Amino acid sequence: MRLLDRHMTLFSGSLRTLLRRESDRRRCADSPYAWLFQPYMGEELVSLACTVTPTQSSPVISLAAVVLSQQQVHTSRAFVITLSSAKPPDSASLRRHHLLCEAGAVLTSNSDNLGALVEFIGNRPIVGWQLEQRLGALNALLSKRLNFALPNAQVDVAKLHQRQLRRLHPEVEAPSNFAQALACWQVPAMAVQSVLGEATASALLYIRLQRIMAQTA
Amino acid sequence: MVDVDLSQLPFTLLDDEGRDHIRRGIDLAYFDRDEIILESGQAGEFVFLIHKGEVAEIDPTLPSSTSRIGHYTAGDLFGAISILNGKSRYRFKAEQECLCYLLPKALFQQLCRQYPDFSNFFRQSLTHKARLLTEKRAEGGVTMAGFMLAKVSECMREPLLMSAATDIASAVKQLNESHADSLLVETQDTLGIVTKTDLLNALVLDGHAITSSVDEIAHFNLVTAAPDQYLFEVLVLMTRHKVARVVVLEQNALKGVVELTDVLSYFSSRSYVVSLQVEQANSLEALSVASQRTPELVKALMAQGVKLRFAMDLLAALNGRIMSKAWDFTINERYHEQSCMMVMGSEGRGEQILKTDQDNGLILADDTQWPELASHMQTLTDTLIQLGYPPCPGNIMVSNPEWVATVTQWKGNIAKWARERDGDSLMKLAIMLDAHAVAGNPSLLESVRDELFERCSGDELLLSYFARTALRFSTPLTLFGSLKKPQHGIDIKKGGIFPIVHGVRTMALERSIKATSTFDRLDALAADGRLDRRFADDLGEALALFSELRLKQQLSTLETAADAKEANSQNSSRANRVVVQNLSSLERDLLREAMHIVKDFKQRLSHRYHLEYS
Repeated sequence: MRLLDRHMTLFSGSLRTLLRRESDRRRCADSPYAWLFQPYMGEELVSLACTVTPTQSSPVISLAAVVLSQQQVHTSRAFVITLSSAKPPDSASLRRHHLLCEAGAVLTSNSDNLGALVEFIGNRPIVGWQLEQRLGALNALLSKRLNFALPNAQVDVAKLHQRQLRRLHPEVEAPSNFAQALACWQVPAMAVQSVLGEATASALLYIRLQRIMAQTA
Repeated sequence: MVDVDLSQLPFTLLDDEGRDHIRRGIDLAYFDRDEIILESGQAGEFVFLIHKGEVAEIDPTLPSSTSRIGHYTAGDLFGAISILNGKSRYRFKAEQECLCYLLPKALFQQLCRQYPDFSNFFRQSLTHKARLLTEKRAEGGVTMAGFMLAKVSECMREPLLMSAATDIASAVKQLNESHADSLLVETQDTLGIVTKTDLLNALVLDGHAITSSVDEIAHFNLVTAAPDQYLFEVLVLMTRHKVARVVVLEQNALKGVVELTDVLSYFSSRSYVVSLQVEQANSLEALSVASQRTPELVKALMAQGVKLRFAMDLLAALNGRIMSKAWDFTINERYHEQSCMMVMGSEGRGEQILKTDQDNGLILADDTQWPELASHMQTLTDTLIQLGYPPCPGNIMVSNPEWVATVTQWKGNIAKWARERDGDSLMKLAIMLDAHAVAGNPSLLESVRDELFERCSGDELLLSYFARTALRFSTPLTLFGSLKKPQHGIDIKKGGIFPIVHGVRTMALERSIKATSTFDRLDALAADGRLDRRFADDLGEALALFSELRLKQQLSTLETAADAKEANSQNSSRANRVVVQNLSSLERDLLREAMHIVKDFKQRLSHRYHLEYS
């Protein structure tokens, strides 16, 4: 079942993303990032949470990535940064954003810092709540600086959550928010207002949902 | 950084930097129900801090009924000792789905090196735990140190039995030959005892001839014990009956004699000699000195791990003797027959450990002529204050004329209280139910108490009003049956002790049980069939646990407040508060179980006395 889930997520997404990923792969075949396009064979995943504040020049992105396995969430190895354009355009909004997300060091969104981020994530599958929407700004930034968007397989826990809900109650309709989903599966919400908290919580939600699916399968 | 609550022990022993280290270094792990988190024999790799869920500590070598030796819930730590020891001695299993923070071994060891206090915390809890476990495994689960386990049979002497016709001269000869201090005689199937002092008195004071037979001077009201009783109980008997020798009988067959000197040589630590000091005191000053030493005695007993019930018995006997002596010193002997001093409240139930307020009253025979009564009683109260019994804030003392009355007046009062049934009357009835005579003529109290039972035990409506008070305070358990954990602690007197004491008191009233101690009442109720034996035992154990926790608290406040007497009044309310977070997980487990017993008991009470809608 778990294997099936993984393949479902690998091949999910539109034809356009598939094609985009393929063209990215070809374009980066000779770059140092080529290995990111290799399929990942390990057991680990990366939980990603991302908050974006649009500003006039370029958006401020706070981001947390946490490695998880089937049982553990390695919060000690978390990667937390705030990316903004070279010259902080609006320090007030940056500070507010920073406080709100409780993210890590503020870095300029140059190719070095983005490179470190994709190196950390590697080719491991990405887990997160409503990934596509949250990663839009990051992918745009990546395409601009590094010439490719995140090629990783993506597991959207929001979709897993909805699917599991439908399995239990076929009539269920209302899409729920993150806090409701956590409460629904009795996952403790640990400081969800910070990006690291959100990443950790979505990792826990993923582990929890995996276990439930394994039981009901 | 992860947001983890580090505001509890042992993390409070770290500074901010250390706590930051932890926040940076911990991981999270999820465990399914029944999943084994740490197997016995496995090397410890992490310290686990539970964020959510419950974990059981299991000793796989024990049979399954007793194998569960520990229980951890949210906020608890485990696995540290496994790291210190190199491997885990026990198995840790998730009893519910669990979410734990994992503190890696390397980080933990680094913190232990940097912060000695932090390290000591775990080493101490290791020894503490080891001690608890050995105690738990001790035979019968009785927490008594070695010397307390001494039985009468280990300390008894061969009896020197002589025929009734033996004359004094040959008796003395035989006593000297066998280096004995007393002899026993048997006449008409009853045993009598003759001590050296008796022989002397008989010859010198009473003018007996040396040819007269020993049974003329023997005492036949013997205090007896069985060979398998604890030596400690014999000490209690000796104190209570003011004797120095106890005869050991096994199914009416003479086995031996235990002498006070032998018992004392067993309990040679000076603290145990308090009872002897009390006996020997022939002035108020000497009595006061002995009386001041009772907290020391309590501490020594607790340090030895004496079972609380025995300690309570000894203390009740001692306090009784002290008060009775105080009475002897202050009240003229001609009034002794016509009056009875009673103690009430916890003193009356014999559940006093440390001295608290005096709750006492006086019953007079109907035709007593006692002109200076008021001034005598004032002196008595003052004397008791001098002996270390603080005055009662509710003024339930012999110096208050309201608590001094003749038998008829008392009976009238009881009838009035039983009729009125308001809060004040019910409280006074409860106080009278626990009354216990300590000095004077106890038969006066008995007749008053007989009246009390006659008036009240059949009155269902009164019983229902009476029982309701037991439900007044809520049991500090959460909706899910775990202990409430407020920061300021749970009030163990209101939450645990009071409902048991009052509930049992009500049932004893219903069944006209005369015993005043809650433990004895429980025994009597079980014998009566009113409660099943197991439940009665459970209630007794729960009460003992509460009292023990409370006593620990009191002893610790006694230590801290030794130099600041003004703080005493504040401390007395704090002394009842037990902060759950400071308990070991084993104690917490016991406390939770005990609270469940209280809750169960309250339900039974409300069912029996129809309190559902009140």
